[in-house]
Amino acid sequence: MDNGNGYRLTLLTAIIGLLYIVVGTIQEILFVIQYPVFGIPLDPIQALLLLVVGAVYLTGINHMRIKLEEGYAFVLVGSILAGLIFILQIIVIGTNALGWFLQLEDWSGWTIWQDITPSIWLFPFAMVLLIYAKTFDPLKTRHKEET
Amino acid sequence: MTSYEQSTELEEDFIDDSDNQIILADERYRIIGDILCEAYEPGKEKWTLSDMLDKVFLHKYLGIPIFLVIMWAMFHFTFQASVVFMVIIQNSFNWLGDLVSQIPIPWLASLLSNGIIAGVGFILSFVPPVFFLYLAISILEDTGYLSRAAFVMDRMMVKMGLHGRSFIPLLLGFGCSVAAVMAARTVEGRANRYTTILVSPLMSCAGRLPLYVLIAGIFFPTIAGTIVFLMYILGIVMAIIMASIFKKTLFEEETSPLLMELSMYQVPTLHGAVHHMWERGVLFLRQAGTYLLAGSIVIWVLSSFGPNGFGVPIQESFVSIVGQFVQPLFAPLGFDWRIVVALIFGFMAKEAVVQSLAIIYSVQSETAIAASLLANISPVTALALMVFVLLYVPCIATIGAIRSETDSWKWTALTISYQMVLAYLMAGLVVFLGGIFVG
Repeated sequence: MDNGNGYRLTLLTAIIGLLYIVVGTIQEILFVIQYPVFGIPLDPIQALLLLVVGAVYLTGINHMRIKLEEGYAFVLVGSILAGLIFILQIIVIGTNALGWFLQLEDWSGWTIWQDITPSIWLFPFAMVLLIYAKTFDPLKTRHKEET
Repeated sequence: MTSYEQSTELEEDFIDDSDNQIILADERYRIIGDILCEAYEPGKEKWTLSDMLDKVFLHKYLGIPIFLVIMWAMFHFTFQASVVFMVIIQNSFNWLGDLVSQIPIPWLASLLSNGIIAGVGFILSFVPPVFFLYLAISILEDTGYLSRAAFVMDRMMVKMGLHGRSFIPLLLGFGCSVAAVMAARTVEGRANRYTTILVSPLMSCAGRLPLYVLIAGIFFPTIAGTIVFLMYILGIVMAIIMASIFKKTLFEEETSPLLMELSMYQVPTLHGAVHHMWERGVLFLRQAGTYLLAGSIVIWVLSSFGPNGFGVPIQESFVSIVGQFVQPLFAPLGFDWRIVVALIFGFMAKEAVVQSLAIIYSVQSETAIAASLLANISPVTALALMVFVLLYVPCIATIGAIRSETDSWKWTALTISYQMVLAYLMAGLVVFLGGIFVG
């Protein structure tokens, strides 16, 4: 793999990692000042999760400088965590939609927009990174070399 | 003698002695090391998917934050995904309760609607979160992450003078404290094993979950999943702190490295996860159908009868007499006599706390338990109650397991006493801090 592609992967990882960190920090600040914004609910724990995902990506950058394949492991786990909190939120939306559909009292005023969180709209970015990083999958590279 | 013959000889010597499994594992790895030195020529490094994932999941600094993210996800899923199903079950039992209350024989109508349906029916509405929790634990087990969690926590536990292997029984305590106490057998050394047994009941078992779900859903609806998660984390933190205290005061220091084989990561199968969930969850259903049903009838009798016979106001019932006698002890925590009675019944099984509250409030009035709790206790008292239930005496089955595993009434009594004191102090701390910050 050439250095240009490696550099692009490092840069993309840094951007996505920073994006998670920035959004997590904004969510924490909004919680402290109690100022809700569309798409960012006031939930300090969810903000911490975003910070952890961002930290995993950014730690990967250090490893990429030494060995690109090691950095790939961090991209992979960061994407797994991003996917986990994304799927979780989709399940929450699904069950809330069921309550609304069945016209249960507690869900009478529910709208899907209430459940849109950063874990939902940040996930596509994490996916783009994972798909791009697949080029550097050391398992795939090894398999190609062996065959 | 070849290395293989040495290994076979050793295995035969120790095969029946579970305490020597660690020695066997040490010896096995020594022999593997010897063979590798002779046969292995270092070549190009080969990575497996498990190696890659472990590089991050077992990372020195990221390991614990990632563990916490996964734990949060598990409890958030448990609560959020189950709420709608709980409401559907509750509505069904409410409908059934209204139906049986039409029976013309008053005592029978009251027994069925206020006793059995309000008690067992109410506890059955917690089947979804209990099953979802077991599903999440099964998935984590099947992926191979749970053993990594023990490995990740080992660093922290060793720093506090504990053994990393203790964390495996403690994790089992999320399901049932009895299983956790029994699993402490695998912990090396008497001091480590006894410490693990003593702190195992602090891990939040599935029996406590209904109370958390109920209270968090009523008093903290927007962050209910997070509150439940924090209860489980508090259990882990208290277990580590208490274990550290026990190791420094009751036992001599005894540390040894954690040696465990980490299986490869696997993609869990739906069939496997659902099968494990069902195996564990069915125990909850069996409990509800047997002694929780019997408990419902006992609580209904004590709530509906008093010295003046059947149908007395709840304040004159036997349950009120018992509750009001003990309640002054809990007055500083803000617990009224109904909560005190529920806590007493919780000694039999933790599920009985919620069940007792449901029956007492049902016999007392027509108002739903949620409205009754909101009217009778403050959010701070509600949080104190959750902390108290997390930490106070283990259920009677766990006490039996502790007695059996330690073969001593002294250690059993110590577990009950320290947990009561700890629960009281921690709940008191919640009330104190709540008084300062909330008012």
